[in-house]
Amino acid sequence: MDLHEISVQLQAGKARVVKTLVQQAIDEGIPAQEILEKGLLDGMSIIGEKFKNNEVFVPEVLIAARAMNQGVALLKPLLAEAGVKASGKVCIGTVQGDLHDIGKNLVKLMLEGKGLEVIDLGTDVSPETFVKMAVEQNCQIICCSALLTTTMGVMADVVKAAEAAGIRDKVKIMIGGAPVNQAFCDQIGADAYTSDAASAADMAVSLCG
Amino acid sequence: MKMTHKERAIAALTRQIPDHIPTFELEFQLAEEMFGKPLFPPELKPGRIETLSALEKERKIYEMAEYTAYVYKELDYSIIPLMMVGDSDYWDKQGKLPPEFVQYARYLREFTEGKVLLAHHGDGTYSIPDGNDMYEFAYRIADDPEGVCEQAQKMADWAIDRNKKLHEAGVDVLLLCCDYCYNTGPFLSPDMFRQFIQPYLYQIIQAGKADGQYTIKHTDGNIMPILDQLVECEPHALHSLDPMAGVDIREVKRLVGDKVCLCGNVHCAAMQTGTEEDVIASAEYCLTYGKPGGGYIFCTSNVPFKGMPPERYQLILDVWKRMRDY
Repeated sequence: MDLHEISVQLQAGKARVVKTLVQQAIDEGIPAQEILEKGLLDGMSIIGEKFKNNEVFVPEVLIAARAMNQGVALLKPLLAEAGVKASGKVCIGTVQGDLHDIGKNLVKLMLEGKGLEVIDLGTDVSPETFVKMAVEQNCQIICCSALLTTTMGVMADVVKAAEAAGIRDKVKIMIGGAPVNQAFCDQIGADAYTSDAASAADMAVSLCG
Repeated sequence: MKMTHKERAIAALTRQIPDHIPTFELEFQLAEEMFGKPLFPPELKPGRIETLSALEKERKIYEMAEYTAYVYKELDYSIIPLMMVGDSDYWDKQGKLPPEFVQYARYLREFTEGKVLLAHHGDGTYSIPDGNDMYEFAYRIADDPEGVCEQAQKMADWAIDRNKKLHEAGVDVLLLCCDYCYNTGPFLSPDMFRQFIQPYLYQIIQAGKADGQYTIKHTDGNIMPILDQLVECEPHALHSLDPMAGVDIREVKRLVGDKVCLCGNVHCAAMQTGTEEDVIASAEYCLTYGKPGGGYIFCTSNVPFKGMPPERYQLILDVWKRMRDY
């Protein structure tokens, strides 16, 4: 079968169709990794690009992600069986004092759409928790999100906590959110700032590479 | 000729040229820092208000109204945002105004001699959902668009009903504060916005206007892709014009300044973390490009929030005083 059709249906958010097509591809003996990459991740990647260009909007991204998850659920045991691993591991959270999670959730979806494994730490995450989880889960990247100007300073504390824990050379720190920018990223010594979720995913892939 | 605050605000809201540019904020969170105590007295908060006798409660509401009038007079606001006093569940769930609020609004009108516009929240459209609600909302849009529209109509009807009660209590201005946009753009696509929000926002605004209320539509974020639809709803004013999302008052004035009054655009993040020069430059920019031809109210792009250095807020008020006269 043509795996491109999975990508197309995923972009349209057709969860049931995607599930059926993925099962069909499995039944035809196509390797799980190939179905994942040429079907599901290809579709999410295109959605991510369109989102970046304001051609699709958040609901379309979430609906596409729902379709992807339906397909991934079928592939997961086969991928594990074949010893296929995620291309990178990221822990993500909204910083301490901030309960906003929309941006963080979008970045998480985009990261997963790039085939990265994501540990979601939720909201109101302390610098110590970011660092502890990055160590325990062996993450290559910490992603910090903030919506409030009053909480963006916590991102600097995450950088300091990573330095204090002696992992700064092993873990990249990415920041994002409405009040932050590249100048702030440079000021606090983080590794990367991106202005939108899709760019964050692209950046994470390059940092994991 | 010198106008009253009310005349000045109405002139701006109706895109005329007042004696000078009015100012206000959706909320003012720096009362304690700038005037010594918060606007909302702790004795009237849930858990404590119930312990007051009727006489004590009335006294506290009177003092709250007196202090509110004092603070906003000092700030020279033309529109005063009212806070909900009394049982908010009574308002939120049953749609009935708590008698304490009615009393507060009455006292406030007395203290301001009816020369200032009183405002309260009055939106009833979908805003950007949080957390898991965002997933549910997106799935419902895909799976049950008719149901989403039905609910939007119920929400609008509910808001219209409540706004009539606010009108009866003396609220002149409806602050429509459901957020629709991120920094990067709207939550919904323009097509979805036209289906699930615009018709209902239009109804709420028109109902308020039919009752003689003024309407200020606020949303954070980059509104440019839906600017035309917001203006089609015919609010008196658009608020926020969020510079952190790239919204430029000069461009918005050029595009729709002949159709709607503009409020905001003074850079809140700069007020928190920028230099004094950044703050002054932002305020001057807004005044320079918002002012021509009237239809402009000076305010921040969000609110003077807790944690913002009060001197930074004072700084933009100083710029406003220097440049506000027509």
